[in-house]
This record gives sequence, structure tokens and C-alpha cells, in this order.
Amino acid sequence: MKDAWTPHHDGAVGDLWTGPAGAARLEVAEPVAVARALAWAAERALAVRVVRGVRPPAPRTLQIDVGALAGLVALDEISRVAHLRGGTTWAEAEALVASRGLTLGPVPGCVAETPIMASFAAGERRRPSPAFGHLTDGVLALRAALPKGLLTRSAVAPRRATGPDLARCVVGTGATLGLAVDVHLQVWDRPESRVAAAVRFPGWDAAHDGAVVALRQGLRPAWWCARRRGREVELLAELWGDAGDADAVGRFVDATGGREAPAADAQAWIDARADAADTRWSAQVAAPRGGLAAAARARRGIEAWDLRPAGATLYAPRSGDAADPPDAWAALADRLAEHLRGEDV
Amino acid sequence: MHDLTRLLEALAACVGADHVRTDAPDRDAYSRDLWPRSQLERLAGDPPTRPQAVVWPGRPAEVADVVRLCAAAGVPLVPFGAGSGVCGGARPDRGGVVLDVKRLKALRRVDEVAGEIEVEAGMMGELLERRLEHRGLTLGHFPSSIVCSTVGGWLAGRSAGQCSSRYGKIEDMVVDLEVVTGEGAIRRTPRADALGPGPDWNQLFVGSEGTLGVITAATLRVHPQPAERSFGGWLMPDYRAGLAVMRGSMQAGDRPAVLRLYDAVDTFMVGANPHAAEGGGALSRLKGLLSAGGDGGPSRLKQTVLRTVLGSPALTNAAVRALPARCLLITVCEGEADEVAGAHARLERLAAAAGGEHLGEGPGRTWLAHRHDVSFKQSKIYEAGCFVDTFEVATTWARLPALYEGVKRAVGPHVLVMAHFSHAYPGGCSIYFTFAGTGRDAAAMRHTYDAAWRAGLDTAQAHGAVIAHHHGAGLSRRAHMPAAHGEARQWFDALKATLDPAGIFNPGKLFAEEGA
Amino acid sequence: MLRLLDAHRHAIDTCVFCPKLCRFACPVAEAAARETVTPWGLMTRIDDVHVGRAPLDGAAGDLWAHCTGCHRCQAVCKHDNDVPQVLYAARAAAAAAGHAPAALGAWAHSAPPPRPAFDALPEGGPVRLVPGYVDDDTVRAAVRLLEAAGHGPLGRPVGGAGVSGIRLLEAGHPDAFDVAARRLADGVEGARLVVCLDPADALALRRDLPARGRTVGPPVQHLTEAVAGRLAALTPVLEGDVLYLDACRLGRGLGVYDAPRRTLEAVITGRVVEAVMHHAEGGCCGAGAGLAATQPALAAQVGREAVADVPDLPVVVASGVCAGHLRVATAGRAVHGWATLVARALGRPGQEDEG
Repeated sequence: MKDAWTPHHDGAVGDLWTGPAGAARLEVAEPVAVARALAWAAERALAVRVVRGVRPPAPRTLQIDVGALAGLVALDEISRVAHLRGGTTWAEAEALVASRGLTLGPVPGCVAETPIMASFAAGERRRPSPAFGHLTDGVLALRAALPKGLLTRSAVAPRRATGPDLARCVVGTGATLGLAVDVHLQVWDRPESRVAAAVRFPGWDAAHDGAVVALRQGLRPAWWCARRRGREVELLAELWGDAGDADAVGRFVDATGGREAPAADAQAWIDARADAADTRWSAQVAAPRGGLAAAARARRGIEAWDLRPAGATLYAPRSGDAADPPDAWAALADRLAEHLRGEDV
Repeated sequence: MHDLTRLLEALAACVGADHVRTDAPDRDAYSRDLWPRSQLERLAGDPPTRPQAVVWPGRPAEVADVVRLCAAAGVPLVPFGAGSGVCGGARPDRGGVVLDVKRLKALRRVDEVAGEIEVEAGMMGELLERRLEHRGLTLGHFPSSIVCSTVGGWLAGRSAGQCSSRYGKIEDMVVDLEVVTGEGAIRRTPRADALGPGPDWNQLFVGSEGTLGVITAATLRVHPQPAERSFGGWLMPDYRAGLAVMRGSMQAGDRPAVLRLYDAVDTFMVGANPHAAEGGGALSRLKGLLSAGGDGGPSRLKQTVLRTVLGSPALTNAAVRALPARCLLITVCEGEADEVAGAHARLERLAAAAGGEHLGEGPGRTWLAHRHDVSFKQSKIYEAGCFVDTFEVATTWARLPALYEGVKRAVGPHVLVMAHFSHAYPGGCSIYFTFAGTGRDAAAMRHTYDAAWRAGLDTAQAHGAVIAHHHGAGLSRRAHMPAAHGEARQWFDALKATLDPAGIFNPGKLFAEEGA
Repeated sequence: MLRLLDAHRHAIDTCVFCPKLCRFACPVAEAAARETVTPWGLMTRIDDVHVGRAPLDGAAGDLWAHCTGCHRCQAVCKHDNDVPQVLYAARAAAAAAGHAPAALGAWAHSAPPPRPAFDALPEGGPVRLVPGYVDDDTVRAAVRLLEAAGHGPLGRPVGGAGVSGIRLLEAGHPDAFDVAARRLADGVEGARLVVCLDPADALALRRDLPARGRTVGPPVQHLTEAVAGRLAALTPVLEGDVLYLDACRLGRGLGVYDAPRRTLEAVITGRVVEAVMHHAEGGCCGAGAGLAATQPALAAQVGREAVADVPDLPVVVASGVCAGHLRVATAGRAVHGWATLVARALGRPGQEDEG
């Protein structure tokens, strides 16, 4: 694949590679290099894609290879806060904190090899864990590179009231408003035990109700989903906790009010979710409570991952997703990026 | 120059003549919020900057009309809830029009099953919570200002309630927002639980303090009223031991509704340390002076004593250091029985391991019953010719002790200072500093007040803390905002240019305007 | 006349320096959605005028008319601050300076409506009726209730006065109130019991007049107190539930909450339903202290909001004045005066004598 790229040197960003149709590739090792790369791309009106390793060229796109911008900067074991470089993949990050007896929470296989920076840019939403939230939640601080070549700063704290949460500008916005060059993330003690639980219900609404009751009783699985199984709907969960808690599954089953099913069902699902090859999933639609059955009928193989009182987010195997149609907010986001680049709007 | 008369006529045409006011009492009342510095300015005789008019739109469409008219005229527009902010965020420092949102106060939708409500921005907090309680629900948001603040104000300032460790801050409760942006469009933000491409606009409007648009309504998560509640109280050997308990609970994944640790001075003031000698000299007198109650006001002698005590902050703070180090920790767990029992049992284990002396349920119950009473003490202090204020900062657990010690040291030469630790998270906690001082006259008080604030925020920033946890930035922290955000300011400027192209929304708040 | 405010200096400071802790409780501020008319806003303007920071002018006089005297603010104030009393002193200063709203003065000096039933009562007697400003239907109902409760014979206060003059005090005419209230006090001397149909009059005789140095000899009760537990034969006359609204001066003023509810339970087939906030925190109909005269639209809005929590039920309130105002304010909603409703439960007039 390296054959597709031609070495080049640029006064602003140093060594890089160029490819056909305005493609470019740059390896960065420092936050400031990301900032320079964004500015360079902005001047040339190139799209930006964050990658690890060498990927095929894409027209008018700058690939920023962040493989050298990876690693753990510091680990605050008192506060359970990991300071990670933006190029670190989730699998690497989990391994780094695991060696100190800590965890980021479950890491889905579909994102394990994605750099943290890219996940933030994509607005990663494929780990809606009741216990740990999304992978891009739990941010205590985020430093970003801006399209004008500058770096932001941020104090490290769990919450703040110093205006809008400006760091959100780099979550879900591609690289148009900046990229997260390093983040402070909440980490947790590794659980002493992980057990799988499976509960069956006569339909979607009953399964959803059972999940909500469990949440309201304070039970928060590390991850879970509801999916059809034959004529029933099963709720599958992984419960993290203390080694001495022998009745975790029983409490969960009792709370949901469903019928206990073989734990192997849940374990198989958990193994699949954690499998690095399992990269097929994409969020489909947020279904309101009561609308799960209809949404599930519309698409085979659907799983409801983000179960909450108001509804759930349904995920399905990816099938050449069409881009969401532009709406008023997308247009505003475009204008925001243009303003950030200093363009007349 | 805009033609004010024509603007006022147009405003009256759109919201009704009864809902546009230009009389002196209204312009005075809306010239400030509850930022204590405004009170000191008033006492010093400084004339406030008053708005040219106050308008009360009754529907979101009228808000949009008002925005369009002000944008066309280039007139500043300051959204206003109930004016309970303590940072000057709602002060119309550039004049213009104040837009009071309180006629927008409908509880549009209550969905018990989905656990959501849709409520308009002008709803008073206490009235909302009472209505939810009536239906077996709670928002779980109990700021000490709940009796005098609105939903819109909570959202604008990133408010936190006393039960935030269970229910989160207001930004954690938001599902979506209805906002009027600078071109006069009524927009509904994407739901936080169904985000597509693009930023989470909810989190960009929340905390914007009226600088990016007018929040007219919000969908918020609500919860069933807790079935069970447990109360705990411990006298910890020192504040570090108390912090260890709070940290252990939160990092274990529990979510107690209240974790509240008073430092030694605050513990003394709340009267919870049975080991503290009452013969605390100046401090005991101070405590007596500040005790709440419906008396006829402090006597001249008492006022003189209070001024004397607060007029020598170095001596008073030195006396404070002689107090026993023990600190009161109050906990409240709520929810379903199993969860409450588990979280409470863990707190008992953690507190015992950290050397806590168990005080039973009393302190927690007393706190819950009287949690808003402390605010009533404010009048007595001002009436005596003194001032009191608070500021809240936050950082990680590891940095918390140094931040606490550092701020106390920095502020101590100017004012009497005490603190409590509340709003705990797995990664850190906020510190709520209360300080009181005086001066020979209002101008001197203002000088001391400014010095205390500057010292506090400078020190917080030097320790890597955030300079506000839930009061917002407004004017009181504006000077420290550039250092807090660095180049992230560019995002704010771009947001401002995108959402408020005419630059009318609450100008000069959060960040000073260019050239100001 | 600003010196009238000197005595209230501590109360003023307490409010001005307070972070609006009664803000949610003020029904006028809530209906007006206006910070200027919150207890904090009103007291701040009083302070400004008192210390010379702002003029005593028509704007101040108009502003100070924005209170119903409901005392809901005081009910939640840990300082027990009596804002309406300070406001009445400020109204007096405005009136003396010629800056009080004309409508406020007219309201204070207006005559009660014609009440043939009251006029028909003999002067004097052991139980004397003070109708205040209630209408003739309410007087008739009260007479029947008191007789059924075994009170009597009924009579008018000597000299014919049927009002305490409390409106004069609330509108800022304390001296005129003194004269009127003392005349009424004189007119009830020697009675065994004084029964007021408007809680405001009972409050004037039990609290305001004694505070000005004149105690009233006989016990003074509101109608609901006088008949409590004494009405044996009540037949339900209303199907279903009702919303009961505490009249401010009966509840917060006189502390009478349960007696009217108990009686009410006996005259309906359903339950007495409470608003979200009730008893000491209950809402206000909006009519009090002249607001309905000076700001009729706002007063109506206050009334609508007081009963908005339970929109579908008939409303019962134990003050004829409140009931009359609510009927107008809520336009079409069933509003019952407690006295007339309970009197219907006695049966047809004269029926109790037939058995």
C-alpha cells in the first residue's frame, strides 16, 4: 500500500506523502504536529481522516497517522483518571490501565482498534453501558488541536460551569472543529467477577419494561442488549462486581421480572461484542418506548443496546449506510466550522 | 443609533403593550441579579447600568420576534430568569433589552413511563419540583436557589443540585432543548440519546448564560420519588479522612444522593462537633451572631462585634486553625431498598475504616430538614455592614487537598473563609468556599471583596482546578476565563458568530468583548 | 410620611439583603412574571425611596399596589418578615404624597353591596354578625347556618357598622382604619360572640386593631369556626370531588384550615381535593388588598393560577369575597362560596323547622 504514496517535504508540516487526486498522508508524534496538520489541511480545503498505519489514498483527504501519538501520559490512581494520548487505540488504552488493575469499562470489538482521537471525531456511540456510559463520556479534560493550528487547554475536573462545554466541539464533528490530541478519562477498578445473565420475555415491551425496572433498582450492567429469540425477546447482560457477590444474576433476573435463560446465550453475545472482528454494527434509530417492536420488524437482526426509560437505540449490522440527510443542525455545524477557519460566511 | 422608540413600539406590537416596560422601578429591578458585588455597588451609591426596557414574551414565537427586532436594531438582549444568579450573568451591563422568560412557564408534557418532562424555561424550580412530587416524580435537582430560580436559569448556568452525586448536574438531565437563536429561529436540538453527526448542541447551549440564544424549553429526565432513604453522619478525624470516604463510595460505583463534608470551621458553625469547645472566643461569638432565627435583627453591639471579628481576618482565621480538625460528613442514600442498603453499608465500612465517629441519622436528617436555612443568614451579615459570598471550584481527588489548603491560605488575609466538599464524582469533587468580610465603608468592602475573589480564583487556576463548578462565569469569573480556556475561546467565538451573528445576546458575558 | 417606614427598617433590610428566598411563594410575582413586584422587588423600591435613592412618585405608588396581602411570603420566611405590613406603610406614604393609585383609594372607601338580610337583623344582641363586603346571598346563608348551629339570636353591631375598615389599612389609610375599626369594636361590645363572614374582618378585630392598642371584648370568629361541629343534619348537595382553596386571611391569617374542610366533606359525595400547594402554602384568589381594583387583569390571573393545578373540579372557598372574584377570574368554572354551599345542605329554607 505504501506504493500508492510518494514522499514529499513541506515547509509547514515537514515530511509527508502525497497520493493521487490531492490525497496526502502525514505521521504525527506530538499534539502540535496535529495542529499544524489541521491548519495545513484547512488551507488546502482537504478533508481529514485519522488513521493508524498506512491506508489507501482518498481524494482530497489528508490522512493523519497517529500511531506515534499513542500511550499513557500519566495515571492518577487516586482519582482513577488516565491521561491518554489521542492516537492510542481503545484496546491499547485498556491494556495500559489494566496493567495497573484498572479498566475503562467494556471495550466493544467494533472500536477496539480505533484511535481515541478518531472515536471522538466520529462521536462514537457504540458502548452505551449503563454502568460506564459511552466510551467518549467520562472525559475530565480534553486538549484539542484546532484548524488554525493552535492547541486548546483545559483544567482537569469532573464537571464545570465555565460556559458551554466547548470540548464537545470535537465530539461527532469529524475533524472540522478540531481533534482531541489527549484526553483525561475516568477509569475504574477492574471487577473481581464478571457474570453473564440472560432473561426472556414474551415481547419487546416486556423486555424493555424489565430493563427499566432493573435500572430503577440501581442495577447497572456493564453492557447489555435486548434482541429477538424465536417468539420471545431476550435481555442479555454482563454484570461486573465483587467476587463475593454470588447472587448478582439472581438479583438481576428478579429485578427484570423475566424468565431466566441459559447464561450461555449471554456469554456468546458478550464474546461477540468483545471480538475485535465484530465491526459490523451501526446505530440505526432511537426508538421510543413502545416502538421497539415496530422498529425491530423493519430491520432483521436488530439489537437494542441503549435501553433507558424513554426508549432504546437500535443497532443493526452495517449495510452500506447512507449518510444522514443534512438538516438545519448540520448546516449550523458547517457554518460553525467555517467561522472557526475564519472564513466569511 | 437605533431608534429606541420605534423598537419599543415594535416590541409592544409583538408581545403586547402590557408586556413591555420602561418605568424606572422595572429598569432598576432588572439592572442586577444576586451577584453580591452588585449589592456592594448599590451600597456604595454606584448607579447601575439599567436596561432601556424589559419585555415579557408569552410564547416562543414571541421570543423569536423579540430576537429578530433586537437583532435588526443592533440592541443588546439579555435573557433573564428569576435573577438569582450570583455571578452577574444576567446584569445588562450594555443596557438594551432584558427578556424575562417567566411567562413561558408551562409544564408541557409529563411522561412518567419514559421518565421525561418537557418544561418551559420560565418555570420556577420549587414550583416544578412540587408539581412533580405531586405525581410521584422528582427531577432530583435541588440547588439552594431552587426557591428563587428558573429552569432556564439552571440550564444557562450549568446549575448543580444538592443531590447531584445521584442525579447529576442539570446538564446531565437534559434530553433536548428548544432554543431561539440569533436569526430569530425556534430550534429543537437533537436528542442527547439519539445524536447523529455533529456536536451535541445541548451541551453547547447549556452553560452559555444567554450568550448564544434564548432557551425557551427543555426536555429533562425525571425519576420516581425514592422509595427508601437512609441518613448517615460521621465525625471524621480530619477532612482528608472524609474525602477518602466520599471517594471510595463514588469510585465503587455507588450513587449516594448526598455526600457532604464540612471542613473544621464549617463543622463548628453547623454545631455538629460535640468535641469542639464552645469557648472558641471570637468564633463562638460569630457563630452566635449568625445563628438563624426570626428575631428583631442584630443589635448595634452585635453588629459591631461582627464587624470587628470579620475586620481582622488574619486573627480570625488564626483562631480557626486552633479548632479541632474533626469534620462532619453527612450522607443521604436514596432509591430502591437494595440499592440504598448497599450504598449505605459501604459508607459505614469506609467511614469506620477512616476513623469516623458514627453520629447516627441525626445530622443527615437535620440537614435535609434545614438545608435551605443557611441562605437566610445572608441578610443579617449585610445588615451588620459586612458581606458574604461563596465560590465553588472543582478538581480531581488527588489535587483536592492542595487546592483546598491553597485557596484558604490565599483568601485568608482578606476574609474569614470556610468550606464544604460536595458534588462528588468518581474522578473528583467540588469545594464550596464561603467567605465573609467587611470594610470601613462600602467602597472598602468592595475592595476587600474583589481581593478575596481574585486571590481565590488565581490560586484555583494555579492548582489546575476549574474555576466554577455550578455558579457559572458571568462577570465574576470573566477575567479568569481566557486563562481557563486558552485557545478554546476560538470555539466560543465561532459559536457566537454562528448562532448570534448580530452579537446581541448578553454581550460581554463569559468573555469580555473585543476591545472592552 | 416616609417616617412611617422608619419602624420597618429592619424588615426592609432583611428583605433587601435576602436572596429572594420567598420568590416562589408570591402569587402576584408569579402571575405577573415580574421581578419588580416580588417581595424583594417591592421592598427594594421601598428602601430606595426611604433612603432617597429613588423618588416617591406615581410609579412607586403603582408598584406598591402589587400585593394581595396574602402573607404567603411570610409563611416561608425564616425571618417571619411581614412584607404586607411594610407595604401598607409605604402605601400610606404614597397616599399622603398624592401618589397612590386612585383605584386603590376608591376600593378602600367603597360601600359594601346592598344586603337586605343584614339590614333586617336587629341591632345588638348576643351574637353579632359582621358581613364585611360579602353579598346578600352569603349573608342569608350565614344566618341560616348560625341558626342551625344554635347561635342566636343574631343581630347587627350597634351603630350599624358591618365592616372593620381593613381595606383602609391595606390601602394606606391607617388613621381612617382606626376610626372605622374602633367604631365596629364599640358596636360589638357586650356581645357573647362576634361572627365575621369575611376572614379579613375577623383578622382586623383579632390582630390589627389590638396591635394598635384597642382590644375587642367578645370573642371574634369567622363563620367556619362558629359553626364547626355544630351542624348535625347536613345532606350532600354536590356530586363528586371538589377543590378546596384556603382563603388567605382564614388560613394563614387566622390559622383555620381543618374546620371548613370537615364541614365540606359532609356536603359532597366525593373527596376534598388539595392543590399541589395548600394549607399554609396555599394559593391566593388575587382579590386581596385592592389588587382586583388596581390591577384587575393581574388579579384574575392570580386567581386562575391558584386553582389551575386541578382544572376539572368545582372550587370551594370559605370567603364570599374570594368566591366572587374567582367566579369572574375563572369565567365559567364552578366556584362555590363555602357558606352558600353548606347552607344548601341544610335543606330548603325553613325545612329544618318543619321536621
